[in-house]
Amino acid sequence: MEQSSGVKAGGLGFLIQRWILPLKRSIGTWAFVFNRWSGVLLAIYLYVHLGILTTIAFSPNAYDQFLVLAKSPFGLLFDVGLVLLLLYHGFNGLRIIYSALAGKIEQHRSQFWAVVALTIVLTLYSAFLIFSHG
Amino acid sequence: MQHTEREQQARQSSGWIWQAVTGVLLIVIVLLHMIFHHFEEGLLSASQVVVHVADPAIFILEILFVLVVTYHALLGVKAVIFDLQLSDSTRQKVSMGLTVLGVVTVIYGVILAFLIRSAAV
Repeated sequence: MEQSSGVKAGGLGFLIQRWILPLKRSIGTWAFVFNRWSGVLLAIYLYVHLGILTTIAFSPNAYDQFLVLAKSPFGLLFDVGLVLLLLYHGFNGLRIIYSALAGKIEQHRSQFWAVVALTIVLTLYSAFLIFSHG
Repeated sequence: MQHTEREQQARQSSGWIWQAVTGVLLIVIVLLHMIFHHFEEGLLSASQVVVHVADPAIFILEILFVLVVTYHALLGVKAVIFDLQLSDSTRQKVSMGLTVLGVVTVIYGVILAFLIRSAAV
């Protein structure tokens, strides 16, 4: 499929076109790209999270100072972004599993929009909880 | 050659199944993690985190979280890197490197959980 665009499968050019410039592509490609991007960002965040938690074991005061930044509007917005990534990646993962097991691949458009809707609604609810509790 | 391709397909297929299984597990674990650590009282102070992790149920949940999330994340990273259509020898090196990274991450995460829990004693 990708080869028809003139870019050979594999290699950096292929990845850039597939991942960074998926313009004029199907909904399925966008779902794939968002899933990959959210997955990579969450994998990076895993190590950031471990780094932050390390301060609890070795320097609790440094962690509490970090909390001041984490509880700022910028920090809370970052948390909302994180929840957005988690929700999209989770729901899209369930969509992929459902499509594969139930053989409902032809319904992938409506499934994708259901994932987007659920992600937006639950992100807004989470944002309410995050900004309420601080 | 065909045998190798078949083996590769089988490995990819088992990788997909494990990615799906750990993904479903992660949905449950992350939800519990968010409820226990973030949604109940907001962002916790260092002393509050120590008290939370000292709870045996939360401690086990965190150990399970480190194991499952590391496996899921690095399997995903491997799939992304393998999209580059690498040679078999490079694939082996990438797999080995990610396995080592995964083992180190899990060991570090478990030690960290024990260190945080020990602060409560």
